[in-house]
Amino acid sequence: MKTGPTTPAGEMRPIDVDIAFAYLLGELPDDRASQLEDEAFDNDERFEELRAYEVELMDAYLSGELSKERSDRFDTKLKSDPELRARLNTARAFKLKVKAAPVKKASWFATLFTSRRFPLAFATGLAVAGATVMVLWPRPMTDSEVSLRPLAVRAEAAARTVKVGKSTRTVKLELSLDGEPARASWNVVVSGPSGEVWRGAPVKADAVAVQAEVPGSVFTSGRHSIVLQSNGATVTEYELTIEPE
Amino acid sequence: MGQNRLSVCIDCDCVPLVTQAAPRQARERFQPDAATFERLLDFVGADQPARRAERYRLLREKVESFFRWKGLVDPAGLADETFDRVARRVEANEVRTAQPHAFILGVARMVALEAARRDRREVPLEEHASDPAPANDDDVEVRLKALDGCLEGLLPAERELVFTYYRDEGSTRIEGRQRLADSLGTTVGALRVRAFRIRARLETCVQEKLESGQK
Repeated sequence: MKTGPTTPAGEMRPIDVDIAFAYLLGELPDDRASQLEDEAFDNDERFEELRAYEVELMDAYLSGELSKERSDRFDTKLKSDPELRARLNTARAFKLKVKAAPVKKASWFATLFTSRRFPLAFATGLAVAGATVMVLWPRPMTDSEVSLRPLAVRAEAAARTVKVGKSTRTVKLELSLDGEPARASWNVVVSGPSGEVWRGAPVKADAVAVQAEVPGSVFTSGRHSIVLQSNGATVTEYELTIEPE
Repeated sequence: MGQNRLSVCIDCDCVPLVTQAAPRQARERFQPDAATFERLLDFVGADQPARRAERYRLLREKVESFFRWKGLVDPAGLADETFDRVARRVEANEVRTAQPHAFILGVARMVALEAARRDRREVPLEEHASDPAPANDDDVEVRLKALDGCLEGLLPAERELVFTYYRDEGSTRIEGRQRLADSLGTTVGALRVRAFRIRARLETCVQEKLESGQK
């Protein structure tokens, strides 16, 4: 069955890497190869995509990731193509450069939100926070919107509004440390519109999260910041807007 | 091109034969006069005059890539031949099509068929005998130096992107690229092209430095 270059929504359907490699190595049946060529001539994006796969094919060859059969096919192309041999040497140089470059570690902020594990972590965190709220809070305080977990705050990438009323005894914060290097101790500091309103005792954390129980009374209406510190230095900061219940 | 080369016959059941092959016919470079070239630019369908040259350049790149992907010898020469034939047909008013790209691809396919027959008849012996991809350390070293200079010409964000995209190998690649795409708010497919554009600039820059003798 032929599949078109675009999705039903009109977006370009990416070429599967295996199909692209098969085409570039001359393994595709003629009709499928012709279809790809038609698309590449008709559509500039498709053409660039195939060119991108040319580079990735070279990388796969250099990394020894191609099957024996494909590696042999690539060897055959190399024999007859001096330009490809030169490009392969540039690819070798580039590979060395990439390996030598320092790996910029993503912040735990970024790691958390780009990880595929995030939905699971988020759901688990939400369940834990929900259960905590249910257990710790007296019945009249069943404010289901109190999900002050930083995960939720950060997930929205903006200040989150939370209702905290006089009946709110404790707000439990859970600050994930996923992706953070190990540190001796952590502090959680809460600041309100008029400055710092609460500072937790240093906690030794070699687990996956720092937890803090903040009295509900420290929160007044307005914007608050919740800061995760280590050795007095700010590691990350979240915004939270409190509204009266 | 014009000199005799040692060849082996590989498209027949003959015993490998070392012989003096007939010299390959030298291809004439595609050098249309100004009027013909103008008509060719019109033909490639750029509606805006300012974009005609850019459209032609891209089409030419596509034609060359097509021959390269087919594994044919001398893709640039074959592209010349293709555009020469197209120009002649356009010049003679023989072409009536609303799809110039498809027409050019059709001509390129014909050229490719003929070239494949030629290439099958003649395969230089040294190309069979040589190690296909010996890591030429000196050459790689020279390219590394050139690459240093080229990397300096990138914006820090571009450098970061191209390194991050091409860093992962094997089983970590898919997840790493997905993570990077997510962090940039794009798709892996779009990211692939974005990273490739930067890498293609680096490759061109390295080549230019080598050709100009700069390390």
